[in-house]
Amino acid sequence: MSVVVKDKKELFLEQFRVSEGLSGESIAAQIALQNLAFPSTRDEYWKYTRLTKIQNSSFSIEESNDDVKVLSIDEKGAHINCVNGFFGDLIGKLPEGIEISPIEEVRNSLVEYQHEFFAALNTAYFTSGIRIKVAEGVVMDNSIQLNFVNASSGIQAQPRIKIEVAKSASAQFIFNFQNEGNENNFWNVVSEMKVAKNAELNVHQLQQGGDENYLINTIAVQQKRDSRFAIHTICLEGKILRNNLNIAVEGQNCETKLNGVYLASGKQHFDNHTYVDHIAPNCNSSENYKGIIDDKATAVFNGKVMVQPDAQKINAFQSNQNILLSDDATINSKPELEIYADDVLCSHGSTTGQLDEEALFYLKTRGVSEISAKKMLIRAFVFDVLDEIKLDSFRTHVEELVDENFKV
Amino acid sequence: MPDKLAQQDLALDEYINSEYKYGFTTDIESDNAPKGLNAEIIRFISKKKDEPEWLLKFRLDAFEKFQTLTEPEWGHVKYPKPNLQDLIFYAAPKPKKKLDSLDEVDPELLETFKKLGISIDEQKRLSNVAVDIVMDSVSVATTFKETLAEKGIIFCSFSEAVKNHPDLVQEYMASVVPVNDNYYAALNSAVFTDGSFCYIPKGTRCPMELSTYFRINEANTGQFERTLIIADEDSYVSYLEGCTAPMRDENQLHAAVVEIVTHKGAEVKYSTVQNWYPGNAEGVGGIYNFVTKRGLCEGDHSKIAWTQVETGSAVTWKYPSCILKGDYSVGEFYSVAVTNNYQQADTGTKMIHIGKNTKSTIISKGISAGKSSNSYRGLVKINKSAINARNFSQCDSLLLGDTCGAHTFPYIETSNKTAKVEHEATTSKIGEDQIFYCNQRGINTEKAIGLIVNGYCKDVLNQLPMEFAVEAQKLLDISLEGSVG
Repeated sequence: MSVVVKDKKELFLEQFRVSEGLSGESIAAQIALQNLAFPSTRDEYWKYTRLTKIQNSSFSIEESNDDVKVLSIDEKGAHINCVNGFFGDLIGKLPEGIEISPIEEVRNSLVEYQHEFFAALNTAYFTSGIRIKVAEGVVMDNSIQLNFVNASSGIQAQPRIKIEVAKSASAQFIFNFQNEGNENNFWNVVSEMKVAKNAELNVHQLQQGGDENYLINTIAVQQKRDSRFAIHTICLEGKILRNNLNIAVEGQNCETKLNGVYLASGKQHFDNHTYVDHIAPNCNSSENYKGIIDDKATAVFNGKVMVQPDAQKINAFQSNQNILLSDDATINSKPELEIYADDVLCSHGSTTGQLDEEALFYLKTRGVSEISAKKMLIRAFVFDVLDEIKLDSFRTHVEELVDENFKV
Repeated sequence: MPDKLAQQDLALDEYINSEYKYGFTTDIESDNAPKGLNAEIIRFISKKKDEPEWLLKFRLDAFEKFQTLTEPEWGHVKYPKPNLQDLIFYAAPKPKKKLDSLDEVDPELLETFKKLGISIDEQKRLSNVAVDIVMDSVSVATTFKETLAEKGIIFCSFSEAVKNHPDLVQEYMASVVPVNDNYYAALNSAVFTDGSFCYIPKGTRCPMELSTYFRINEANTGQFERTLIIADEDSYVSYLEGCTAPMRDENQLHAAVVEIVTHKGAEVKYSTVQNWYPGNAEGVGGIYNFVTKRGLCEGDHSKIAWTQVETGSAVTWKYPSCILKGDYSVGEFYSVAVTNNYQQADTGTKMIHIGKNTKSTIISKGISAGKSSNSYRGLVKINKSAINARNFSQCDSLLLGDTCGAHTFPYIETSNKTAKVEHEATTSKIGEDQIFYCNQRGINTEKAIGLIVNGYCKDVLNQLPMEFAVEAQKLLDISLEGSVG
């Protein structure tokens, strides 16, 4: 049995291997890959997400120079396209103090690839990478939008991004995953984000990478003291969509915010894993994920808050709320706390249910049709999370998308 | 303020250093099996207990399945794996003769129970409790049997049940916890020595609380209890289980299996106070408590409630669960788990909703001190068929000191849109404002902490039957004595 599994893993890895010699940490990652098994539902980390479809598919690398039409969310912002996993040139004007360069080799990886198969896969064989540096004290008024676009079918794309926000700087990014009718694509994206002392980083993700495509999106964040980090993840499309969000809060007085909305329908499978590691004392973190699951879709939420010994005075809050709309929808929620310090206030809550019947009744008595009333309530449920998005253009865009989904 | 803090620390140290009060051993000759585990030993146990052929076959099948299983690794506990080949799987106090009254019980044994404060005669006279005492795997005294027999209630040791009620045992044994359910359940199925059996006939309300006291008494003895409770239609029983064990340097393994079946309209309330030897302040010794407890709400409108107060054992690995199969069935789980020194507890529950309109409630309170680790691990699973299922879970953790850990690992799986599932958990220390408030009113810090901890556990303690509530409160008080909680 184990021999068969190994063969499948080998076959899977075959298609990624590159002929040229590896350098930097890619070498270590390649060695790690030899020892790591392909993730299965027997692994706690992948308990609710079956990856056999990915393992049994074959993907090719295809560099594309096609002109792609991308969705522009922040009109004033600059764009960088990543077509089929290859980064192109910058479109638009970059504010001063921001520097973009390609990643030649991986050094000082924030992503833990020794124990994580897909992080190792990207670290060893990433297709293309960019590094974005925001210099000290620079405040970005507009965002930089990274567009992850499919130009063909059956491809594998493994872009790698490194964002470094220097001391007292403030930056905002949009990660836009989009698709134009392509299928059977496998995206394995790795992003590393360093937020230096007193800096601020806001990341917005809009995931509409197509319902026949796979996306594994790993983000590792390192926060230094007095820094602020916020990420908003909107999951809308994906055959298997997995977000791994690992945040190491290494300095004191940090603020960390993780928000997410997932609207799953059809046969979609959305899996959001978050891990906030409080290493230093006196920090706040809050997490709010809301999901609506319809048809035969499955959603997974696994949020973990770790408070290390001596990381006192931590306030950590975590909430996951779900609404199931159909008889075949499934939600697996696993909010975890692992606490090794005593002077903390940590809590989590998870709820699953239907729309509030009383609220529904109230609206109906006011002459609102049942369908309209339901949509209204769903909208209110989701907008609660969206309200926290500071980047107006992104918030408005997402609100429109949600409205479209639940048009009254 | 620093003074107060220092005082608190001192109090905390005192608590941490308080000795296990029930540590002593009784000198009773025992009839031991040779060390080790193999098919021969199983035959030895079976023969020793004069068991029928079907039970031996059951044991050997279980042993076969056991050999294909491996020890679970997923728990948030670390401990040296017990070497099963080094354990004695059967130890029984030598049967002197058949016992009908207390006078015939080994005086030394009675003395042991006196030290524990559970003098049988007192129990017999004052409280209306029938006590089935299990000492080193064999029942030696059963009281109130006649009273129960009048009602048609069967309450006896497992071995007796095998002899006198083989049909019931064969029908229900391993029907809730299959032999290959997990490593320790399989081990228990292969080598269990004794336990309790209880059957409540249709429409009967058991007039008294049934209880069993377990003690582990023989050095190097693994204790493998098996409890089976069957509540027939519209019956009710409240079952108590309490444990204290003497001090030992070597780890002792306890892998029990408890199965409960409730039929239509029946209700079983199962309460546990567990205070086994937790090891010394350096983390040496102590009991390994790897227990599989599961109840099946077979019939409609049936109910199973688990209440536990866990203060002992070096390592606890225990998840009393409910399978809510009947429509409108109810599962409840109330737990207080206290860990100190190097104790580790990974405990919680599983609520599996299958029937329509099923309801479950989980209240878990963890208190950790010293260098201990206390985890709540629970599963709430709402199956597709469980229309209108309802669950509410609350898991709170209290940390005393900055060297301990408190963890929460809930698994919530919902596949039904009509289900309502709520889970909430908090982790914090005792608020300084609360202590200050008490101080202000002339209550010193120690007492204040005792008060706050008791209040914190109230939701669970309230669920215990009277006798147990007193014992549990006493236990918490002992833990809190001269100290902080």
